[in-house]
This record gives sequence, structure tokens and C-alpha cells, in this order.
Amino acid sequence: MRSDSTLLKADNTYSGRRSPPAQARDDFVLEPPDKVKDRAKDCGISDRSPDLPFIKQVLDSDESATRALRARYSAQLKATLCKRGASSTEAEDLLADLWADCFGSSGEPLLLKYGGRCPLSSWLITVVTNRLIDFKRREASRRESLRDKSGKSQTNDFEGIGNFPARQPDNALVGLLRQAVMNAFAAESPEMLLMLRLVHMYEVTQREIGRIWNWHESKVSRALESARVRIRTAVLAELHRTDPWLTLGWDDFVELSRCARELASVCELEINVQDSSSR
Amino acid sequence: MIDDFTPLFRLIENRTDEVSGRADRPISPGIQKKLAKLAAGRCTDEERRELIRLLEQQPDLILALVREIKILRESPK
Repeated sequence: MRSDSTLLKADNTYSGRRSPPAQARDDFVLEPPDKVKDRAKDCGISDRSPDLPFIKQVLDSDESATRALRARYSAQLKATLCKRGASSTEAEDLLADLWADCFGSSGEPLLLKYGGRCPLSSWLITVVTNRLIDFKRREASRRESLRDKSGKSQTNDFEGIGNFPARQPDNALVGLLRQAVMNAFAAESPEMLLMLRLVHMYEVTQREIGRIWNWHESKVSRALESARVRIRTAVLAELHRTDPWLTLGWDDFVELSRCARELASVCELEINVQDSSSR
Repeated sequence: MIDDFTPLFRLIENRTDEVSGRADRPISPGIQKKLAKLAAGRCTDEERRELIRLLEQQPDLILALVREIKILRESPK
């Protein structure tokens, strides 16, 4: 649950989760910079990423930085969303929500959760892809529920929009990625997984792997590469099976995986906050 | 070459930052000896299979194996 204390408040507060009027998206009233700076410091933003000073500027109520942030990333994010399966309208709605949340129109600014462990562009792409998955799943669920009620398809019926299921904490993407990886790994033998883990997690060389298994280095190399190909194929197949509308290439998947840990820590934080507030 | 598999392992082992803490757990001398033998490539196929099963059940032990591999790497030939 989000804090009621907002750092940046939308001038024209839009209560719904879908796209606010275009005018409202750009009108923000900024609170005193010292308040924002203290909050940024409290939330542990460090100088780990070259993007962090820029984010600090945005959180310090620098209007030109705020505009620059949107100008720099809006087109890229919209193109990514459309490439991954969103319609143009859906992409615009999701972006409007993202920017509103980034600047804290409905609570604590989302940007405070950026820890600098991956590039800002990748982080924004990960957050917005997560929201796309969540939106599409909720939309499918709502359509199914309408179909169940009427006994026939009502895919264009938006009268029930008030019953649109609430957005879930930012964990749809993390769950999806983790499940795809775990299923792909489960299909591999324990010894192949150990080899991959030693190479990729602990920088054990292929020569050292060869010594352990009494294999020639070239055999190790071939075995590892075959396993990687199988895993890549299985992961993408699993993603397609779970969310057929979602278009992700391997590089997209890896980029999301790199940032997902940061997103996961945000989720755990949000879940912990929800748990403590419900007690 | 970009390593595209490390993020996958990190994704499912999201406690990797705590790995050093887990490494401090005591390991029996018998297991330690077997892991050293595995790292040196002196296990029979059967012994290796048995140890891999053990590592699958107790992933914490992988760090002990990695330590043995690194000791060998740093030891003079």
C-alpha cells in the first residue's frame, strides 16, 4: 500500500487507472526540493548508476529534468510496448500511468525505487513490461468473467469497467520470468545445471570443468552450448505458452531478467508494507 | 561475449548477495575431502554422480567445491 504523503502531486488528479486526459498528464505541482532530497536519501538512492544523478535532479523538482526524462524515454518505451504486444492506445495509457506514478501523483514517487543496479532505460522497460503483462491478464480475466455472466462473448463491452480487477503488486513479470527459467532448468540434468552454474555464477573455466568430469575442453564447450540453446528455446516457448500475446526475444528476456531482481526487491518491499498495514 | 546466463541464475537465486554468509556453515571433513577430490578430477564416475546428487540436495556445498577449484587454480603447478 502506498503512502499518502505525495512528493509530487498531479494538479488535475485522475482517480482511474486508465489514461488521464492529456492535459492532466503534464501538470504537476512540485513540493519543496529539500523535502524531496531527504526522501531520496532516506530511500537509499546511491551513486551506483550514472543515471542516478539525473533521477535525483528529477526528484529534486527540477522541471527541466522531469521534462527531459519523459522526452528521452517516452518514444522508446512506447515502441517497446507495441513491439511486445500492446496496442498503441494501451501503450499510451500504460505510459501515462507510469509517468504519473514515477512522479508520485498517487503516492510515493516510483522513481525512488530505482536503485541504480541497472540502466534507467532497462528499469523503466522492466516496470512498464510488468504493467503490460498485468494489464493484459486482468483484461483477459475481466472478459472471461463477463462471458461467464452473459454466457456469450462481450469483448467490446466496457460498461463493466468499474469492475476491472485491481492492479497487482509489481510481481507479474518476476513470476513469469522465474517460472520460465525454473521450468527450463528442470528439464536439464543435475550435472549439466552444475556445470552451467559453476561457469556462469562462479567463473569456473571450461578447462576446470573438463578436469572435474574428465572431459576434453572442447567436449565441455559443446555440451554447455547445447544446453544453453535448449534452455533459451524452452524459456521462450514457456513464455509463449503462458502469455501468447507477449512478444519477447532472447535479448529482451535477458534484459528483463537483469532488472527483475531490482523489481523483485521492490515487490518484496511492497508486499511487506501491505502485510504490516493489514495486521 | 555477453554473458546471458548469469542473470538467469541470479533471477532464481535471488539471495546470492547472502551467499558469503551461507559459505560459513561448517562442512564435515569427509565431505570436504570428497569435494577436493572432485575438484581435482580424481573421482570415479560413480563417486562424481553421488557428489552431484549431494550438491543438488545441498546447493550451499557448491561454494565449498568452488573454493577447492580456486585453491587448485592458485596452487603452483
